[in-house]
Amino acid sequence: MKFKRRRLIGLLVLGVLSLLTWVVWTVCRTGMAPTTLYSGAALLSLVIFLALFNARKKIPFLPLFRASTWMQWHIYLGFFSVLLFLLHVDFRIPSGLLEIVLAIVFVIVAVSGVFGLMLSRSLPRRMNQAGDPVPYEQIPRIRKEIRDSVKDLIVHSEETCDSSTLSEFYREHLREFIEARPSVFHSFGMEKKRTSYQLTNELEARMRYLSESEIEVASELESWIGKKENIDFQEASQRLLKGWLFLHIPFSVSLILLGVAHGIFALLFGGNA
Amino acid sequence: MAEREKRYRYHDRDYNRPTKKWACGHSVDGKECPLGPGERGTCRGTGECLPVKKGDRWYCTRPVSMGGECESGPGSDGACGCKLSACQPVRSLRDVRRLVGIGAAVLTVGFLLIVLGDDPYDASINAGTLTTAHSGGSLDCASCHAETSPADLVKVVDPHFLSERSFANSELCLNCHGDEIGDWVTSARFAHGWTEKVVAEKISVAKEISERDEALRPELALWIAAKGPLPTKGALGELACATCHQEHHGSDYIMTELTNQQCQVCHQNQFHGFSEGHPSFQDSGYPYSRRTRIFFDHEEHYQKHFEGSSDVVIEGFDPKQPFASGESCTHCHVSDEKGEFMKLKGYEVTCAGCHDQEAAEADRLTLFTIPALGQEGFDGQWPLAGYGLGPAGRLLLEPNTGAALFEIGVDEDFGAVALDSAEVRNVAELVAADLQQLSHEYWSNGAAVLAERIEQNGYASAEISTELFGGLSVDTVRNFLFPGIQWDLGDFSFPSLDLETMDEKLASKSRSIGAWPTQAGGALSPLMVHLLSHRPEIVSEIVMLAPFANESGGFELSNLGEADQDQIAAVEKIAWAIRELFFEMRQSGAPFLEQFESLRGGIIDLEKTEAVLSRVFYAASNDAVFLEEVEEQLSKFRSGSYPEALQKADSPVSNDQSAAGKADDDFGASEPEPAAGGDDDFGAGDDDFGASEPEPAAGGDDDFGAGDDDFGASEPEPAADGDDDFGAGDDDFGASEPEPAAGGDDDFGAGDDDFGASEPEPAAGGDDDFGAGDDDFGASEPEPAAGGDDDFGAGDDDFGASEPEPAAGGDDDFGASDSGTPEKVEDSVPKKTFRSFEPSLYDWNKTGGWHYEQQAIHYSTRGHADPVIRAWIETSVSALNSSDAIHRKNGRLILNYVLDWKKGVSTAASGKCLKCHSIDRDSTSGVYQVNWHEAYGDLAEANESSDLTRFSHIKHSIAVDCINCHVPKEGGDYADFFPARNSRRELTNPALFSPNFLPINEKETCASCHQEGLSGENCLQCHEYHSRN
Amino acid sequence: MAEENSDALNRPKRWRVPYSEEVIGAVMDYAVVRDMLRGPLRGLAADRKRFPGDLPLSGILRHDTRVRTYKKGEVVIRQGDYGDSAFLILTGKVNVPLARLPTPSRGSRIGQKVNKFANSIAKLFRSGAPYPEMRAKDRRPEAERSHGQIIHLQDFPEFLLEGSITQFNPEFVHELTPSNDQMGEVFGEIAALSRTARTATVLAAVDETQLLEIRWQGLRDIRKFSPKWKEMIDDRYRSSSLPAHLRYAQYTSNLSRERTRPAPEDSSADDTDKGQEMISDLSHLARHTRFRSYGEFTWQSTFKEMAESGGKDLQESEPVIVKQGSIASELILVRSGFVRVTKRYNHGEKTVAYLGKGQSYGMEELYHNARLDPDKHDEKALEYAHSLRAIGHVDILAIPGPMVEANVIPQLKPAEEAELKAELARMEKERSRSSGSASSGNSNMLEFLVEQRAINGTAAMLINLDRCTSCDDCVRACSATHDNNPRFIRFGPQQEGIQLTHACMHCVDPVCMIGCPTGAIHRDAVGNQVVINEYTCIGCATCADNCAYDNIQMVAVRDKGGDFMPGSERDEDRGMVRINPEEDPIRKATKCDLCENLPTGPACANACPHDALVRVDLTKSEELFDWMSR
Repeated sequence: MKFKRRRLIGLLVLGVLSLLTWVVWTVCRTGMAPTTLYSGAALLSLVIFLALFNARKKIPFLPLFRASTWMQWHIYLGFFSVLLFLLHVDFRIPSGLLEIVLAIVFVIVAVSGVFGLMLSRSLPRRMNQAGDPVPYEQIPRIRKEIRDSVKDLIVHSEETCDSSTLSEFYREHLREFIEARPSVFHSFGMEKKRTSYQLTNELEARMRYLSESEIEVASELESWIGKKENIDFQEASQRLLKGWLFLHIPFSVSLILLGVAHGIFALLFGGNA
Repeated sequence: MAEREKRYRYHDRDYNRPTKKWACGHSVDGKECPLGPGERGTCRGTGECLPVKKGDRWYCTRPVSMGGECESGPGSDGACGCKLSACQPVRSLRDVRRLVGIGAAVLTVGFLLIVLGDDPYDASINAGTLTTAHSGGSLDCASCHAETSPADLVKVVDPHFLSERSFANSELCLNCHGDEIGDWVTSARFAHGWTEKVVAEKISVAKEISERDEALRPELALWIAAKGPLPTKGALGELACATCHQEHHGSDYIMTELTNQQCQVCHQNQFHGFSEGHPSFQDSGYPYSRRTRIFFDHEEHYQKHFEGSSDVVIEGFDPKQPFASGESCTHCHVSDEKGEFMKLKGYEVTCAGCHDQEAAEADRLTLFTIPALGQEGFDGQWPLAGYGLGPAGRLLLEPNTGAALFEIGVDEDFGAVALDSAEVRNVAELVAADLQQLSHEYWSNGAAVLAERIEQNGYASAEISTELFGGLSVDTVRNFLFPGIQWDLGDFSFPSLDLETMDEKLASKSRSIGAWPTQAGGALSPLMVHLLSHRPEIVSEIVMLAPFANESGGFELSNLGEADQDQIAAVEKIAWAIRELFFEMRQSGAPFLEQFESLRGGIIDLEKTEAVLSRVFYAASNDAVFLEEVEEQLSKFRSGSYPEALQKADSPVSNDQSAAGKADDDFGASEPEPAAGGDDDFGAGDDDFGASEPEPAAGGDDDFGAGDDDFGASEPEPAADGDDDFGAGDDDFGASEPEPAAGGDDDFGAGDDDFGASEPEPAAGGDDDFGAGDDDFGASEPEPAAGGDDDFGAGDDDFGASEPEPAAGGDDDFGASDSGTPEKVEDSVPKKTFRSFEPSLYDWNKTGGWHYEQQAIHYSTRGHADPVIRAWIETSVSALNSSDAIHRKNGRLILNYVLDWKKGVSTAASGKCLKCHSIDRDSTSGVYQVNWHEAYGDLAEANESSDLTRFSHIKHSIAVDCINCHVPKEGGDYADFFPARNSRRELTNPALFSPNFLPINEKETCASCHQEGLSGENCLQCHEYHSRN
Repeated sequence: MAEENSDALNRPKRWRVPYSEEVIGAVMDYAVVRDMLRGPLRGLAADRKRFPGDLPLSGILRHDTRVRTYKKGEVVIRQGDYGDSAFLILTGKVNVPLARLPTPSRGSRIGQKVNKFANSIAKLFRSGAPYPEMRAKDRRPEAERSHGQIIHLQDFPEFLLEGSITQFNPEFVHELTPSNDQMGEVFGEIAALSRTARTATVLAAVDETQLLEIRWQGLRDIRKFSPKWKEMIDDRYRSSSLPAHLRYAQYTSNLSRERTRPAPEDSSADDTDKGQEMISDLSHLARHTRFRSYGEFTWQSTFKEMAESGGKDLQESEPVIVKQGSIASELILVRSGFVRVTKRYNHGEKTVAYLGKGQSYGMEELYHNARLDPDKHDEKALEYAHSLRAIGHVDILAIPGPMVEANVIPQLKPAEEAELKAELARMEKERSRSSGSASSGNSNMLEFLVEQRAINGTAAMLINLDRCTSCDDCVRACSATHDNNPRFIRFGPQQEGIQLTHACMHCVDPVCMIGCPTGAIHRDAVGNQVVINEYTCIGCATCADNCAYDNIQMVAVRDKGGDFMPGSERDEDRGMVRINPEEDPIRKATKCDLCENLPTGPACANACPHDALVRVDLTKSEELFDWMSR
């Protein structure tokens, strides 16, 4: 099935479901039914179900639907759970200590989820456009390779053709760039350090001081700069892609725990009204 | 190309293992040891290979991928030749994430433990801020939440458990709210806080309706909602408080919100809105469910009475208003404190203006009469004539007597019955004996006796029965109780003296008692004795007269033959005292009588001051000339010189016949022959009529008629009245009625007049009341009229306020007028003119209260809400409700013949109470009751008790005019349902009625404003959920 | 470091487990071998001396063959299956029905269901190994023992329609009996040697039919050392399997099999008909069909070298089958392997398509030429529009133009004709257009696939890098299903954002199997995937080296302590233990097994949350392009 079509269907289902829920909710409201009980129960079980996605990943050998199917559920039901949440709190900000903590945790999980979705839909394409993919585990090694080879290159050029142009360039700008680890937001271009583009420009600017042999080295340097740029971008992006889960998952854990506790209290103290 | 190929050679190494927890620290420089870190993240890498021992030699086992067998080879101890520096294995990202997850779990659990471990009443477990009302200091969780324990968790699966809990919690709500909501067991948990029974009824009713009315189609959503799981328990749908009242939603959360839809969920008949589908008012004819309690025909009043009459005295009320305009409603109707209901401003404000007049004109009630039971067989004196024992009298009889009377079935008037049949006679004797018995008790114990009798006979409670005789005094009744003894105000007169004896005895001392009316009335009445005994020096004289005392406590002085000197002297003194008494009385009137405070409850009932005075002075002034003379003689007497009888005697008889003259001459000149002289003198005095009638009794009669002639010209009216009034009486009594009685009557009119003229304060009121009656008189003295008017108006107000003790009111009032306008009083003293006329019933009623007349005791109302009459009506009506046939009969008799209720509206009954105050008969219990008040009281009460509907007149009156909702019904037959129903059943049936106004139509009337966007149509605008009982 | 070789494992080597032992009841001892060499294999015995000392004929027979007995009606080999063995008839006889039988769907061999669900549940309770590549000391996988299980004719309902075998229409049955000549009657060898599917079904015709099953390694060696045998095999091919192939080829399939035409007098040496005078069109065609093969049998080595140097000269290195622009003279049928179809484009050649087994080329041109009016001279015969190049080892059949004109074209179905016309029109248009921009927009992708030889894969793992968040769920899933060991590397060459990941593609032509000394790597009888029997794998890394795609990884196995398993080897000759560092520690070849024994199919594809990963059959490019255009 084409992705466009699937998205369309997904949204459609979500819309219908939400509408239906809304209607049922208002009707139950009118019917003085314990809507909070219902929405709460639904919400809790839904959240637990969403969390099961992670559990399912740990047992891939069981025939329980494809992960991508789960992902679809996760996305759309995730959005749906937000609606349920709003209904459950009746569009108010709860004032109880436990409740407010619970609400905050939910919001964090939901927001991080949406954020994660955006990342995993947008970043891969950009990574792919930026350059060759790199296995995350390999990145430190590759960085080291680059660093070493650049260093060697510089040393070599210094030895062979005695001129300090490149080594100065290296010391002044290149080293920082080559040795730095990218910040998480690198892929958003939110870093102060020189970009590969600037560096190459400066290198170009110094070309006129270079001998033939040095120019070769310089061009090689440029390719290394390109590689480093790519590595940085890949690393930053992958860290983002893995990083958002550091919010999403731990908070989901406490969300479920808190949710269960909240449910117990509500049932024990409130009854069904 | 080659370049590109190379880039893919990462996998020269092993598989990437993202599931590994630990990565070798050397992986950074691509030299991770072959073994990799241990499970717990320990570095296991010692060398690049693990040498193996074969036999006694160690072999290097470095894989080719790492360069194959190394040159150095293993050491002798089996250690690898090419060592690796131990690394610090690094956790894989995924493992770190796992740890963070665990951390989060731990933190959360910790947090929960804190929340739980906390003192349970602490806010940390609190689900949210409470409304300000509930966040009171003394409240804690346990005051609203029933006891619970984690153990209950297992029960959560059981659906009942939840509702159990919320019901348990709800019971706690009632600890504080029990008063408003009611008791949990009986009502609180049921719909609207009704009792189980009511709810059941309502449900069944609703079912019927919904089965009947297919028309009512609810909205789909509503229909679903109704089918939806309303968390109720049991067939009657018991509800927990929290179903509607949610807490922990913040301090400013409104817990009592309820939408229209929600109201309708439980209700069988769901509808779209107030304007569409709301149960119709017309079905119940709202708001007219019965006839009005007070008979007031708006239409008639507007069209007959107000129309054109300028003097409707309701403040600010414009009678010109047509019936169909709502302008004037608020002049009589005013909303109560809550502003919910309209009540009447009250009789005095709204009705008195016209109906006091009516009350005044009403007949008096003749409550007790002496049955005329033929003379024979009754020892002592028993009146030969009388009204017969009136119905009210029956209430006083001993039960067996009453029963006997009931047996022989003698109806309303047990009086002029022939005693031929023995049984009737027996009854008559019983009655007589009974009455006498009663009289003796009364004489000794006073008016309370009568009340006791009524109470004992079970006609009324103690207090009512005392009410029945409120203000009744001994003397009013005495004559009734002692037949034959004359005792009425007529006795306030000159006693007849043995003038001859007196003259001869006194002449010797050259003293005289002056001219003395020959036809002075009988003995020195006890009244006079009392009055005189007010003067200490006279008391001694009276004592001397003991031998002449008669059994009635008076003194017989018409024959003083055996009287000795002192007694004669005493008589003389008394005579003069009497004169002075009269004189003073003439001078100061009521104040004079008020000196006799001591006599209150004794002889003179000061409540009836006016009446007394009027009669006294009529008596006193029956002969103006004489009174003039009294004055003159008194002044002489006071100056010490005794009047010359002779001198006096001459003057009038100047043109008289000679015979007498001769006879007179001889001794008249020398020494006047008092008797003759007096006689002549007197005869001369009354020349014109004296001659015309030789026979004194007849003369008395004629004299009356003559007097009539005399004054006929000046005022025809009183004469007519007189006739009216005494016609019957005269016939009946004929000769038996002694002169003085007649005289008494005569006295009365003039006295009244005279008094009216001379005494402003008390009379002014009365005077003014006449004002309407005779203009010329009022015109002659405008000022007192004005003054009187004020007084009287004020007095009337006070009186109207129906104080228990009218007299006091009267007194206060008079006093007030005294201080208020003293000089007015002075100069308003007119020139004394003496006129004689008969008092009209009007006069009686104006004074009101008890009085005795001709063998009967009457009561005239003292105005609206007269306690005595009210008591009588209550009593008779309650008698109607009695189980005892006799009671019922007597009750009916009183209603019919005393209160004259036959026609459904009492015309005769003093004040015509029953004209406006309808009597209802409860269709179920059959109990009669009088409607003293308009509906308001009952409505308010009903409202308090059960109803869920709230309507505020005051709120609406701001926006709309009364008649927008209460549309007057033109040409209605309202009145047909009050008077003149042919059967009492119909008459007393409030369900038969035709309102003055059209029923209210919620569609056109209410819905015109009450719709979305205008005044709104929220259920809670008119309805409340919790009923108020 | 390890102490005294406590857990040293006897190094596995060839013949560790005799072929016969893999099937219950198939005995093979020296006695049997002796009898056989005296009996049915007399001819072979003559070449005995030619075999090297460390690979004696007796040894081969002992370890690489087994005697199997069939009852009447039992199926020996089934059409469409992949088999790695050939059969030699000892006693009894077998039938080869010519009727087309249904090709079995992948992995569902009747009567051979492995309970996959049970497997997956079982995994739930197996705790993952703490260390990579841990192995129990001496584990003999049970699954392997189900080999060669026999199924019955009754399992083919279609077949029964044609009546029981006894009364086969002789025309439909090709009967084989033990031949009297020296070599004995052999069948199934082609499929075994060329790693292709069986072309026909063979049934035991009588009870007590005894067959000698020879696994392909054995077959290969015999063929290598015994020229006679080789000769026999090659001859056999023409006679028996060529007609069979033609029968299933594109245009020739509807040729009649009635024996209507007389056999030409000059009955050539390769005439297999036993003296019949009448032969069918098919056979007639077969007689004149030329059989050619290009590229070496083991092409991968050269490919690897060429791959280093890259695309263009790689292409140059591929032998040309047909040259673009030469007059169309034959109809080319691809019998096995792959053919690259290129078109001249400026200074290079652009790949526009590739042909797989059973596909043909040149029909359009021939069709056009056939309908030429000889009188009109302005019309000239068409030339080939493309060049054909052999990718790796290719067998093709070339049917001469006249033969086509005479036999094939007249019997074309109308539908086929219509297609041909349409295609011709299209080609016409293309020709008229400036010889340049080739039509297919995917040509880059094709180029790439061909260059990578990915077209060989039936289950290649492709990852859409535009969607892949590198969450490694696929890898985790894989390792979770393989006892914490991933079986692929999420990495590889990429083109247009599509990454050809380093996971076994399960090639149509699994070159990895070439040279496996023990047959540890083989076609699974159930799912037909290429799988490795770790028990028999001796870690020689031949397969890993053979694999043109680096999709087989050699891993050093560990014991439960997490230490490598050192191997010891007793050298009989010198009677002493010697350690060969080259092979230390014990290594095993590992690769993707498509999770053959899981109900879910490949776990990796299942586990991808972002629909980035897929296993596609690249032999049919449509499947790929569908997926790409999602």
